[in-house]
Parts: sequence; structure tokens; C-alpha cells
Amino acid sequence: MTRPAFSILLLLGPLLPCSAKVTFNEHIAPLIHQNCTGCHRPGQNGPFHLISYRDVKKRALTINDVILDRYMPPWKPTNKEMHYANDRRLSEEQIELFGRWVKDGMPEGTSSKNPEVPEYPSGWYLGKPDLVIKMKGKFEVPAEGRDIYRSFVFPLQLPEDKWVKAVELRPKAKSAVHHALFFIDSNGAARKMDGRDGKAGISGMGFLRQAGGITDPAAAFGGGNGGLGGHVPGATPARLPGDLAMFLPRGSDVVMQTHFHPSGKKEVEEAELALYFAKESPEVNLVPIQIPPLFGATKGINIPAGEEAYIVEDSITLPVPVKAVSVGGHAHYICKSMAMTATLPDGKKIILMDIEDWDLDWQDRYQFEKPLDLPAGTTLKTRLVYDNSASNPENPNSPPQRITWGQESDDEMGSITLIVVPENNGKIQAIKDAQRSQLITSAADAIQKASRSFLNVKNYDTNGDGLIQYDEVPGRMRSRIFDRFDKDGDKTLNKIEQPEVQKYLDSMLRGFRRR
Amino acid sequence: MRNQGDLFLFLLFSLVALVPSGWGQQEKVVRIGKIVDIEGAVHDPAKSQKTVAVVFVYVDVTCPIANFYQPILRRLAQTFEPAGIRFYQIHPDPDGEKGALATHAKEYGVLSPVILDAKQFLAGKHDAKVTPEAHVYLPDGSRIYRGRIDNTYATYGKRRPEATSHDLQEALQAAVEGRRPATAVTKAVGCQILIER
Repeated sequence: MTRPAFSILLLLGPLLPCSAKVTFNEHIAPLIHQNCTGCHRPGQNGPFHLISYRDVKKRALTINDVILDRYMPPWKPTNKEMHYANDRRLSEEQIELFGRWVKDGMPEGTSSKNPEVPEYPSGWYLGKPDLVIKMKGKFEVPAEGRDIYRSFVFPLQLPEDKWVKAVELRPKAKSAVHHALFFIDSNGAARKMDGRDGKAGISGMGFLRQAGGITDPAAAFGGGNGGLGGHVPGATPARLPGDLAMFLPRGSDVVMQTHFHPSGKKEVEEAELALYFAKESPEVNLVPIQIPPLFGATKGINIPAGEEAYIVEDSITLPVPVKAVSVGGHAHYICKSMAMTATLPDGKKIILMDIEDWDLDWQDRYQFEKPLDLPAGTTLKTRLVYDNSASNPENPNSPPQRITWGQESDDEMGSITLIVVPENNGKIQAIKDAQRSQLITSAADAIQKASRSFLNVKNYDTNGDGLIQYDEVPGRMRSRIFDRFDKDGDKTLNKIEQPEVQKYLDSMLRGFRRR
Repeated sequence: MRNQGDLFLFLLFSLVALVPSGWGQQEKVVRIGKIVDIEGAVHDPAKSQKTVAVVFVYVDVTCPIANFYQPILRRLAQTFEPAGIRFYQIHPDPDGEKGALATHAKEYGVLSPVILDAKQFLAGKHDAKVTPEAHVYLPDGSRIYRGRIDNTYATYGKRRPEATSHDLQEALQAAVEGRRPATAVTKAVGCQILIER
């Protein structure tokens, strides 16, 4: 079905009289083909096909559940006023239409209205790539176990700088690959780290910390300088609008940070990445604005066990006018919700992204339908809420444990990155300066917060018994404190040992302030 | 007499109202009967003296949640088969083909007999709702457990890093120890079975 015909259907959908019979051929097939079949067809990540009447009828009850739940199609933002170019939300009318079809017994309808299945590209979605690169080595994803985060090197080292319009990933372990983010490694650090544990790739999420060549990790999430965006199952690869492009410096490699869900059977990952280059460099570069900066490293994230609504907020004021291109967030398992709001100088508020039910599994980027004009003086505010209680099923710890900032999946992070373009490249420095000043303010806040929390020994005594038990000290601090100050080795800091700990914490605070 | 009759009816209705809703399901009795697997082998587990309990696990070739549980099902079968628990994996799929089921079983390392329930006779008899869902019967046909394998999935897309409640394992352990499991019914999260017959 063509797009105009489908649009007409969308208009007619809500007007369909309640008594009219909803049939697969006339109403449901276009809805499914437009919104589900892109992934649920041979060769794609969808676990089962949704093409024919039989395919859809067999899964109708499940489809009805997941669309009502808005688990499918995967789309996390809930702010209705914002129009995104890659929006995959079903309308309330479409959901209701499907529900009526199920309730009516899922009739097929007359064969004269048999729908045409849209043609999907069989090769690369965006046509012949300019370059296809293969990841270094093969990685066996086990059949079961916890989720795996692993980074893989795509050796590239081109002799000249390039500007990238789009990337498209072809994973081999289709059932297991959940999503991937692409970073640029400009000094070969990732190559050196690759395979250190005897398997292809680099283990865990922490390689950014170790790989010095990655200029700006925040950028991978937005495809600004330092990154090439990401891959989410079901998201349609698209070229950046206008002359916009992502910078790929000569001599660099691409590093793919991958999230695997073991799928029940062993799979082997050996992905290919297609690159589409721009013919010329863009007039203006993409600039990522990450709030809070460094994925919240300076926000002193320290979430007590059982805390249901731990809030992290940060904001920045734009020094120059920009056009916002896209927005996307990053956090780990216990983040519950995240939102970014722009308050314009005239007081008008625009919700750029509001995710009420954050899911680490669906880290997408949301591209605005039209670039948004944000004048100088606009304040961008981010708010993230974390749930470290036992009632959060995604809590990595049972029973809950204190969670602090860190790069592994059981730690927490949190930020939202807005990708913008200024009027010209000369304005980029002003944005960078504002971000640097924001980082310093944020770090100063973190020190103050720390001095009120983990740099004050009394705050560790959460059960109020006057003693500090081993479990009451955050994981990262435990060995540092108990090895030195628990003189009697009873895993408890008594009233004689506590003042010594406080002296040590005071020296840490002085160290922070000197930096 | 009439008053006594009214009192009797009142007490009867009160008692019915007090019965937990799970009871009826827990006490469901079915004739286990003979089962033919995709290889043509006939199984009559209730007839064997060694059978302590029979587990019917409803699965599906393409349901990702059912497939996620295959390694766990294999381990449970390896642990409990020697203790007299008989495992059967049932595909309630009207479009299912034996060849595809055999390929799937090989791919996922399924050790238990695989049954194609194309006419959904077993699914109807056991009142199976989703894949994966486990139904545990004693040889006399009384059902002692019905529901999820464990609580890894809280709902669609909400997956615990590790299960904190191993419901099927606990039910099987209870059966081996000759007692009823503490929890007889749980809600399974997975792909819904459409009964078409």
C-alpha cells in the first residue's frame, strides 16, 4: 500500500462507524504492513513474521496486548505535542481498530480487497553503500545468562577525513543483538584492548573510560563529533537531513558497543556496517549538548537501596541560537523516567522528549520532524528519576543495594543529549564554553552534595545504631575504608574508628576542591 | 424446614464465595492419556510406576519468551527426570510442521519429547493460555501447578536480570517430596495461544 493511500486510511479509521465490520484485508493488513512488517519479515529482527492473514490472526491476542501496553511498536517518548520524523507510535484510533477486529473474531474479509504487501528492500535499506566494513573477529553469544555488553572494533583507518550521512548495521546474531552504539576511536586504543579476555571484542561498558582516543563519548548517542549514532531493531536507517553529516577523521576505527540478550540458543556475531558518505563537508557541524554532562558523572549519583524516586536534574542556557535536530537519552536499569524541556526567553516551554517508562533496551534517537529553532537564552533542563526499590523488576540487585555512578550496567548513569546546529561553525566555541562552565558548576555542586552525603561518615549509619556496618558503606568505598580503618577487623566501624575515617574523608574533600 | 433449607443454601453460597479462585484450577483433573511425539513415539507416562508427575510445557517455535526459557527447561528436565518427572514440550500450533519442530528442538537443545498439537486438543484440555506455560499433573490426573517457569519476565519487555522466584522448579521439588507446592497457580508472561478449534 502506498503512503498516500495509508494516510487516507488513517483519516478514515476514526470515522469508521461502530457498526462497520473491521476486516483484515480492508483495515488491519495496511495497519500491520505499515507499522509491524518492516521488522516482522524474513531476514529482519522481529521474532515472527507478520505479513499474511494467518500470521497476524495467530498472533492477534498478543499483538492486541502489546499495542495496548504500547510496548510495540517500540517508541518510548510519550509527549504528544512534539512531531518526530521517525515516529512509530500508533494512534488511539488504530489501537481501537485492532481491538475491534479481535473482538469481532478476526474476519479476513473479501478477497477482492486482498491487500498488497509493500515491497521492502532486500539488500541494504539505503541502497548500495559507499563502504562496508566487517567487525574484527567473531563473538559467540551464549544461549542463556545475563545481558552482555561488549564492544567490537571495525578496523577502518581511512587515509582521508570523511563525512558520514548514514550508517546501517547488519548483525548476524539477529535474535540476540538488542541494540548497538557506534563510536569513533581516533588513536587505535580499542584495537589494543580487543581480545584481551581471549574473545573477540572488549568486555563490559567501561571501554570508553579506558580508550583514550575516543574524543567525546556523549556524541555517539547523537552522531555528533566522535560518534556515528546507533542501531535499534526496527528503526529505519535514514540519511541526515540537508547537508548535515557526521565527522569521521582519517586514521580512525569504528567501535560498536553492543547489548546482547541471550535468546535461548547460541549465536555468533560477526556484524557488517555500511557507511554512506557525504560528497562534501557540511556547512555547519553537528554539536551534541549533553545534560547533565559526562553522563551524570558530576551529579554525585548515589541512590540508597529502596529509594523509589531519586531525582537528578541539570540545566544549561544556550549562549547562541541553534536549530535542534534530534534528542536521545542514556541511563541504565533503574532509571524510571527522563525528560528534557526547553524554556524559551519569552517563557514558552517546549517538551523536547518525555519518556515516562525508560527502558535501557530501547535507546533510540528521536529526530524532530523539522529542526527546532531555539533562540539564545533558551534554558534546556533535564530531569531523570530512578527507582532503586524492590518493586522495580529491572533492579539488577535483589534485595536492592545502594547504586552509585559508574559505567557498568549495574551502576547508574543518566543524561539526555540534544544534537544541534548553530548558525555557523564560528558559534560552536560559545556552545562548548557554556558546556565547560556548566561542567564546572555541576562538579562544584557534586562536591557539595558529596560532602553532605558520602564524605560525612555519620551519613553511612543508615540504621541509626551509632555503628557503621560493612553493608552500610557504598560498594566502591568499602574496601578503601575498611582495609585502613577497621582496626579490629569486625566489619564494623565503632566510635573510636569513625573519627579516623572522617579525617580521611575530609582529606578527600580537600583533594576534590584543589582540582 | 424451609428456613433450614434457606440457611443451608446461604451457608453453601457463603462457602463457595470464600473458596479462593485458584482452587478450581488447582484441583483440575484430566486424563493424561497417551501422547504421540513428532518422531512417532507413543508415551503413556501415567501408566508407569516410576512417574511422579508429568509436566506439559506449552512452547512455540517463534515466541521469543518461550525460546528464552529453553536452556532453563533443559536444565530442569535434566535435574528432575531421574526423580520421575516426565517433561513434554507441546506446540499448540495449527500451522506447525513436524520438520520445523524437529529443527527447532535441535537448534535449542531440547531433550524432552516434542508434541505437535495442531488441533489444539491438548491446549484445550489443559486450558493453556500462553507460551511458555507449564502444567504439572500427578499421574492420577490432578493438576498441582499451572503457570510461569519463573518470574524473569514481569511483563512484556520488563525482564529481571535474574529470576527471584523459581516457581516451576519449586512445584517439581514439591512433587518429588510428595507434597503440594506452596503456589499452585501463577500468571505466565508470553505469547498468547489463540484456540481456533
